[in-house]
Amino acid sequence: MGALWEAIQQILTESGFAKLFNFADGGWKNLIMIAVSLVLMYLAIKKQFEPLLLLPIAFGMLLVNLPLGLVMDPQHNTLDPLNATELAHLQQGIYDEVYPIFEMGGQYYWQHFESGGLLWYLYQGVKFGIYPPLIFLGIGCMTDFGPLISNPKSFLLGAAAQLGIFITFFGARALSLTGVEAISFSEQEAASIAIIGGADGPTAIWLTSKLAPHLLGAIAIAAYSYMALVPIIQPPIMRALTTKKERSVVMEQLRPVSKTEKVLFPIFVTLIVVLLLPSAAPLVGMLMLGNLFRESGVVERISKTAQNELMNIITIFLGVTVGATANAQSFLQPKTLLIILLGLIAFGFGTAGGVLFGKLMYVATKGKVNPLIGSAGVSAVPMAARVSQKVGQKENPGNFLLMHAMGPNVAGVIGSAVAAGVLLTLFQ
Amino acid sequence: MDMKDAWMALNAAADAGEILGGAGMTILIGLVVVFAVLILLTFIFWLFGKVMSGVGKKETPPPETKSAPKAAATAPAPIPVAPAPAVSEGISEEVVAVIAAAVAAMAPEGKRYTVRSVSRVRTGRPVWAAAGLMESTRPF
Repeated sequence: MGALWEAIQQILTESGFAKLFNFADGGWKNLIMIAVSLVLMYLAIKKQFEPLLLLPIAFGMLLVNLPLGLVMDPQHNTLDPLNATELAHLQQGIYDEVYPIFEMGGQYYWQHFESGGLLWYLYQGVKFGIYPPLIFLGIGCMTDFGPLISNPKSFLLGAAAQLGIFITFFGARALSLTGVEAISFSEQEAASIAIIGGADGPTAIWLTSKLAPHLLGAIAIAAYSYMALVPIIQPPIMRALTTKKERSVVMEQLRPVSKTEKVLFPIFVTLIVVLLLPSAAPLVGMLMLGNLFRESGVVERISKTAQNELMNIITIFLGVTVGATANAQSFLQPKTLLIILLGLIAFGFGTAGGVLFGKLMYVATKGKVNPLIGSAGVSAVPMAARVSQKVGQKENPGNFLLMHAMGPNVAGVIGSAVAAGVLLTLFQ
Repeated sequence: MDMKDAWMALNAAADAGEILGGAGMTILIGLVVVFAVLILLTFIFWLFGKVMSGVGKKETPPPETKSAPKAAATAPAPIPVAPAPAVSEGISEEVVAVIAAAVAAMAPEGKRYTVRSVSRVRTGRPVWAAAGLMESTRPF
């Protein structure tokens, strides 16, 4: 009976529970992280905040914060000293194991391989920047660039709304003037935080995985949360910066776009953007490949797979592994709160940049452009365009800005990919 | 001590200048590059549109934009006997009747409405297209 009791005791002391409730050993940090993941799951399930990504992110976070689960443990090699028998065999030349032997300071060690955790392997797709461009492939298959082709001026709004990214970069760098280590951001970190203002999840993850992977969890969560909050964040800024008259502008109907134009569009964009800014090639290239699949009309099967099955699979891998980077050590930092705050600033300035440029176009075109479509220049497709539509319709119920706003909206995707390319070139 | 403080402050100021200068440069470079790329794209697709619409015009005549009659200016009036609405030319009596019926159907109960005039409204979008748009954008 005693042996059984001892065995049970041993199992209990070696279990995750023991570690989790071992507060002296920092188990409370894991408990907080688990609570955070539960809140995120609540937001995803009950409030439907970008559930497709937030749910796997939240669960990845839960999984990685359960002690001893080792789901994110990297694959590695370990060196163990040879025991007496093995040493004897080695000296007699009859050592028949296939492991490499190292000699250090007269001691012999054998090297053996330890495989990593499941999520660590899946995480390689994030680490090497594979998943985000594949998501872009699917997005390309789903995006109609027609409104942009018929009104190319929308490109400018997609550029103006990237203002938030660069302003936030400045803000994040300025924080390091305080000299406080806990809230100082390096250039790489600042660039990764700033890209939240692009309002484009895959782009943010892609850049962060290359520049500041330790911030991945916080940045991805901030980016997706704010994307879900676009309908709440944007309208007050849009209303504050525009007059009633500007908001009620009815725009001319877009001209129809021919198939030839739609087919040539992805090819031209790829040529120009990639030649000008090679570092944006993975994102823009995949986006445009997907769009060519769509518009060419000859590879419908591939297009369907890329925008459905492939994208769903990648979304699962991306979400759960990005969530799994949010371990207590890297997430429970004052920096995380700052990232969330800076992300909001980035969104706000991005929206403002787009709307202000919209006002400029309103003046330049003598009142033909409704400045509200500018806010859609922060990607967040199609949410931001819907917000333009909604705010515009409040002023003039017969006004349909949706298609006009889709132009800057899809231009914003290209714009934020270009901005990410610039930041990568500058800080890698 | 004073010297050291001053030196530290100077150093910090130099650092601050460097950090902010670098960040300022990033804003500048970033915006210039992003705008340059997208302005180029704007120009190319503007040109593209010109060329394509030129080709398109030769091939097919532009579709005629049809404008449809729309009710306008319906105001509540307490007059029991309504005068005949002013109807602009080219609108048949049936259309006027249908519009009046539509107004009556939409009016809240217990209130009287009078159709004072019916005139053609020129819009770029046919009413049916507008109705379709309204339908498909309602959920947003």
